[in-house]
Amino acid sequence: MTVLAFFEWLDASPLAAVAKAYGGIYAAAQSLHLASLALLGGTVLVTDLRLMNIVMRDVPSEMVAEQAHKWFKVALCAIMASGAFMVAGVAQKVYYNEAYWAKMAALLIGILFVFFLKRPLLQRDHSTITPWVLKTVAVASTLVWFTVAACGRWIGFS
Amino acid sequence: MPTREKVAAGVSIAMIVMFIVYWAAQIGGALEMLRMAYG
Repeated sequence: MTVLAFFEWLDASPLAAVAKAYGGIYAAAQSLHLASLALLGGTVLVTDLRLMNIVMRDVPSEMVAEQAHKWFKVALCAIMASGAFMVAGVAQKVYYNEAYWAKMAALLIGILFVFFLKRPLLQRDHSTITPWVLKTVAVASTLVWFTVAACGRWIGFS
Repeated sequence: MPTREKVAAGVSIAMIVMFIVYWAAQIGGALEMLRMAYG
């Protein structure tokens, strides 16, 4: 099955039928998507700004990263569930949308970065990690999630 | 420096460069459009 065939199948699925016929449900899914994005952005910002020594300097960065990561996972699940429903409603349209694919690429990079690099690194005692490495990881993390959010909004304007 | 830190630093720097280039290209495109439209 090609990517286009998958999007055509998605466009004809029962999920798409609900998304297209019930505007209220679609709007609720959009609201959940935005609220989840706000939660995810909050957890990313609080962790990354703490790693950069900008906020909450009196709280151990290990504690901030640990607590924020739990909610990051909750937000990510809610984003992907609501996002899948939203895409089903406009599957044929987003397939040809450059901003959608930019967002998906950034999202994939962000997820891989968090679960395979950032999180394993931050599970160690932060005082044993070279400070500039921590700050570089924080800047990269902020940039990738900024790009996910910005491309998400871009879809609505393209 | 442990290998994990080296990998994290290398990937992070590559990502930072990539996203800066990406957004610079977007802003450059907007500025080019403004230049062509309004001189």
